[in-house]
Amino acid sequence: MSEAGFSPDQIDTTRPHPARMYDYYLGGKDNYEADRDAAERILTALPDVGVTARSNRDFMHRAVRTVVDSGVRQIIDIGTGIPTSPNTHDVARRMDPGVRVAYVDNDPIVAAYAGAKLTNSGNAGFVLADIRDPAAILDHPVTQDLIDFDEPVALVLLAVLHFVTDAEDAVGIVRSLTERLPAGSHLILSHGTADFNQSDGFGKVTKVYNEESTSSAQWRSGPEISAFFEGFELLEPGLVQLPLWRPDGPVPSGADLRRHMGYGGVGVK
Amino acid sequence: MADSRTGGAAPTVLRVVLGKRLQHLRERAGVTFEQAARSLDVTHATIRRMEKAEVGLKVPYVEKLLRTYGVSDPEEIDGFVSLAREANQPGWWHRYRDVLPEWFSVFVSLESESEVIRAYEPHYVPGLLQTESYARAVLRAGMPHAPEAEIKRGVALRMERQTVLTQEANPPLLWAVIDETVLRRPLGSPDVMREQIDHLIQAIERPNVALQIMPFSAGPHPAMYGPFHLFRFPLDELPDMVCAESLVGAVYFDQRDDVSVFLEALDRMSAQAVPLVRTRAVLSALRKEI
Repeated sequence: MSEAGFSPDQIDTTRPHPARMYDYYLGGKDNYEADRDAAERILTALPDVGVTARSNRDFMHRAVRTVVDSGVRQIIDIGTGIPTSPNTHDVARRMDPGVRVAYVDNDPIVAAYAGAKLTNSGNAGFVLADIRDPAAILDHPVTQDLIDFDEPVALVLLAVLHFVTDAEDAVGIVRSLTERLPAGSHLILSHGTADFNQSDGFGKVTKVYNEESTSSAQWRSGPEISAFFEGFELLEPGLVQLPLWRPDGPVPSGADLRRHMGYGGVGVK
Repeated sequence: MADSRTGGAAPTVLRVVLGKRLQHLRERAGVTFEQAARSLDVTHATIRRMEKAEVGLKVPYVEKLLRTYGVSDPEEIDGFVSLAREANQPGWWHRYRDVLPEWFSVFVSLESESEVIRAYEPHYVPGLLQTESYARAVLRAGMPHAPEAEIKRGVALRMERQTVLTQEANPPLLWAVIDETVLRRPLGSPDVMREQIDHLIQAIERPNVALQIMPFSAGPHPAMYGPFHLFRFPLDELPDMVCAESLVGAVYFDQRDDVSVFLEALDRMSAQAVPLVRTRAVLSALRKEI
């Protein structure tokens, strides 16, 4: 066991990692050859994965601004991934420097990046834990230190639940994460889907993730994703295709819109 | 792999960008090295060297090349030319060329234009975090025959390099992993070491300094063979560059698959080392042992 609370053999850089593949989709440089190989095969099968990754980032900016604007001052961001500027706290703190953020990820390398790039500026912390273990996240001393569970919390689950399968009880996991949040809390959620683009590329993409990467993937339909908002009331315009959630500029249409293969929504408890 | 033994002034990062743009424009226009060379009445090696930023960009050459590549918009040409002029300005470190070997001049140029500097140092405190007395002890150990004046100039250069971390406009993030050896092997007197560790404790308060310690207890790790730096620039089109240092020089890598190997080693080490939040405690504990 290292001082960071994991054993060195938990640092797996031999298999493609969804966080570094996502970094590659976004044009980042924090990825290795194995990640790029897998990501390139995915982009060949489904070229619009890159477009979707970018619209997911844009959705995060708009959703976090909306939630901070409504008065929420503490955020739990699960599935942090490799930092991409601007990050959740950059967006939130442009509106109020006092916003506190607990970042959560299950990868020791993401933990190292978070230490150097996200939590070094104070008011933010990192929890090395898996989304499949909600109690470990909520009871962690860093979470307990940063988050006051008597005040509204924004729970951010961006492009992470499609890496939690039904067999792992994705809906039950979200319920466990949200049941301890007080009224007025928000759930910011985005999720990959085949609803808008019935390409057979999805089969190949799922195969790459399931057989090679460190996480299995499951693309859900609109109604299946809505089930995660149990106990929450969706803010206007509801659970919609990523670019259509409170756009702050021109919105793509027709074939262009079909390229954005994800849903986004924000609910309030 | 870029070799720095090509003479001339060290390229600034800007010159590297312009070289890459010239290459891109030439390829887009479907012009070969030979055709480009004919338009300037030079050899094709000159075109290659311009694109690889191994030589300065002469303004008349740049203008003519852009026309050869089908760029006709005068504004675009003027913009490129003024950048080329800027890229030909010597950096502040040229004042130290008496003590600055060519390979290290490249290093200082990269360091002063980076957005993120990552480093692994098995033996020394990273140059950007050294105190004056520690720097003197390091330089003296490395150059036992050098006259005192040369050591003095070397220390002055090192101190001037450090201003990059405290500059107001976009100071880079320095993210370094140092081996426990660095703090245990005495360099200079105990006072020098204590002062150096105090300096580190102060430096890590800056949000743009992330220092991690690789403890002996972590066992083997992927970069034990030697020190290296990885530079990332604020321009997306520029690749990361790695400088692997040795006793007599350095080798620079910019091919993605080479750079990735260093990146992966750094990432694994950063995950394996003492987490950043505990760096201060480790430094304080080691200071007490001196």
